[in-house]
Formats: sequence, C-alpha cells, structure tokens
Amino acid sequence: MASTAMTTRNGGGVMRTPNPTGLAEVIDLILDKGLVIDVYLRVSLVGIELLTVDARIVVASVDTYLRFAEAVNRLDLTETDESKGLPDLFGDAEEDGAQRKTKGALEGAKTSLSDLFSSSDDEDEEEDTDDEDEDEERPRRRRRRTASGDSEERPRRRRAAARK
Amino acid sequence: MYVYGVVRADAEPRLPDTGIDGRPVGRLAEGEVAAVVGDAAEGPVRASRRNLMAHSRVLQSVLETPCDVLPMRFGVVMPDAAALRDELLVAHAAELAAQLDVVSGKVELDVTVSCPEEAILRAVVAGNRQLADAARQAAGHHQRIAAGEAIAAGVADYREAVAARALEELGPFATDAVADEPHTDEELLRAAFLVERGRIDGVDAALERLGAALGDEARVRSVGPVPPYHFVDLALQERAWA
Repeated sequence: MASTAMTTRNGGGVMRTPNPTGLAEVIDLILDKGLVIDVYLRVSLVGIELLTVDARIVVASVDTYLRFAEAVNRLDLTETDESKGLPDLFGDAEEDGAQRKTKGALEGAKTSLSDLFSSSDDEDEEEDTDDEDEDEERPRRRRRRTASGDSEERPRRRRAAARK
Repeated sequence: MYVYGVVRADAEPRLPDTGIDGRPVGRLAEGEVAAVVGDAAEGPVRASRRNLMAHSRVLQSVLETPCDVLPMRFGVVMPDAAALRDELLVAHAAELAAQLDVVSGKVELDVTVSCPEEAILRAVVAGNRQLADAARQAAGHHQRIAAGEAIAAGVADYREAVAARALEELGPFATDAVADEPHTDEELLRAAFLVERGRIDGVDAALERLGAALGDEARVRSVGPVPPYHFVDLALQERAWA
C-alpha cells in the first residue's frame, strides 16, 4: 500500500497509519469482518474487481514449492553479512528440517495467539469459505453460518472476486 | 435503513454529516443500545470505493469521539426502523450489550510484517543449511518439489517465529489478538490486537522494538486505532420463533 500523508515513518522500518486511509485496508476490514445479520446483508460487488487485484491467496502448491527451490538455488549463500537481513529467529541453527511441522503458518500463529490470551473466544469463529468468487456480477449471496459452527477446520480465505 | 454499527444508548458519538451514497447519518436507540444508521436506497449496496470509505469514515468518527462501537460489516440493510428495533436492537440486546462490554474502552490495531521473499528464504536457509543443499542437489522434478516443500515448511515455521516474537512484544499491551492468513507470500504476519486506549503508546513502542528485532529488511506496519472489527466478527442469527 502506498504511503499517504497520514502515514508516519519512523526508524527501524515501522510505519504507523492512524486511519485506514487506503482502500485495500478498508476492504480487509469491512467486507470480511464485523457484526453481520446474514439475512440483511445486501452487497453488490459489481465494480469492485479493480480494487482487489492485489489480493492474492497464499496457497502452498507445487508451483510454490518449485519456485522456492529455484529461488533458494539462486541464493548466494557465501554472502554472510550478518548485519543485514532477517535474524535467525529459531536460535538453534541446526534444527532438523524433518522435525519441522508442515502445518500452515496461520494455524500456528492463531494457536499461539489464542493460547497467550486466556479470553475464551470459542474457536468456531472461522469464516465460512464462501465460494462467491465466481459471481461477482451478482449481488453478494447471503451467508449463513450454523449456530454451532461446523467443526471443519478451514483456513480463512480471502475473497478474491477479481481473480477469476 | 443502512446500519453502520452499534453503540450504547447513552453514548453521544460524533457522526459525519453524510455516509453511504451521500445520505445523512443518525442514531436510533432502543433500551440499552443504539444503532448508527443511514437512509438506504433500494437494492443492494454498491461496494464502490466511495461507499466503502464512507462506511469506514462513519465508524472512525464514532470511535474517535471517543465512543465504544461494534462495527457492522459493510452492507447490512434493514427494511425500516421497526425491523431495526425488533430484529437487531431488541432481539439481540443482550449479545450486543455483552459485546460492548468486551470492547469497552478498547480499540483495534492491525499489524502486518512483510519482507522481500528473498530475504525470507535467506533467513530460513540460514537456519537450516540442509534446505539449501537439498535444493541444489535436487535432480529431477520430484526432488525439486520435495526440496521446495521442505523450504515452504521452513517459511511457515519462520512465520510462526515472527508471530511468537510479535506476541512477546505486543502481547503485554493487548487484551486479545487474532491472526489472519497472510495475503501475500511476502507477508510474515497479519494480526489484529485489541488494545485499551491508554496502552496505544505502549504498542507503538513495542512495534519499534519488533521492527528493530526483525532487522532492516522487514517492514512493520500498523493501522489504527480502528473499530474492533476482528473482535466482533460474528453473525447474529435470526431468532427462531418455534
């Protein structure tokens, strides 16, 4: 997102934006989140396609794997400037790759986030994975969530109306 | 009637003159709670740039009053004032009051951490040289996929480590947090924090520390305070009569 007049940039690569001034950040919040009464949700997504072009769904796929392998192959690992780049956050440089979990980052992050806070949001707040991607020309379909939430664990997916 | 959000009945939120479709914004109270509403045209609400920003602007204005607010998702339209009273403010009075208590005096801060992909891969490989060796020695399609999959797992672990570090820094200043799925491969973290208004400065300082810990190539970004969209993320059900 481009910086705006409202944005302040401090040292250390930290940017603060007091208001959601960019459309992308507004979309993130208000199309996906917030209180909703399903039967009264009436949104026409017509015309929004241009607005969500930068929304990519991160999915682990064979393409991603090949791209990672290729990119790592190209890395010049002799360049060992310790002062630059991301730190090794694992602390233990010799961690066995095979031991690593392969589950998604989000699930992990979510678990650790909710573990930290004792607050008892019951974990059924998963967004239903709506398949409204195809019908951006029509008013958004009503969404209905079962009261108890189906126990299926689905990743929270980002709407990508424009991608099809 | 377009619904922007819900506040306490005795609150006096600052409202902009106009909202969605340039129409006036007002308030409708019933019992303990009140809805921030606007006139709505017939038919679905067009998710235009102007309308999306208008929805956000109305709620920002309420939040900055300062005033506790439960933000509605974009596009909730009720047929008339009677329906709004009966089916939202009365039918869900207890849930709304309880939610308002949860977010009382608090705001949401949205934090993302991103970094060029090459730097992420470099950090992952630096932590586990075998990943690089496997990528280099991979002969053929299947071995390349396997090497890439191991790297992807390393990236996922790195994301978790970033999330853990972010929690370490920001957790003490927040009462709740939610992680979203990253939107791009360059994102390491996308999370929302529920923070008491008085602790926003603490979060700012924590973000600086996080930025310093993650080095030059990582970008830490925070948006907010915003209404607690992530922490009222629930669907109100129609009341069953039978």
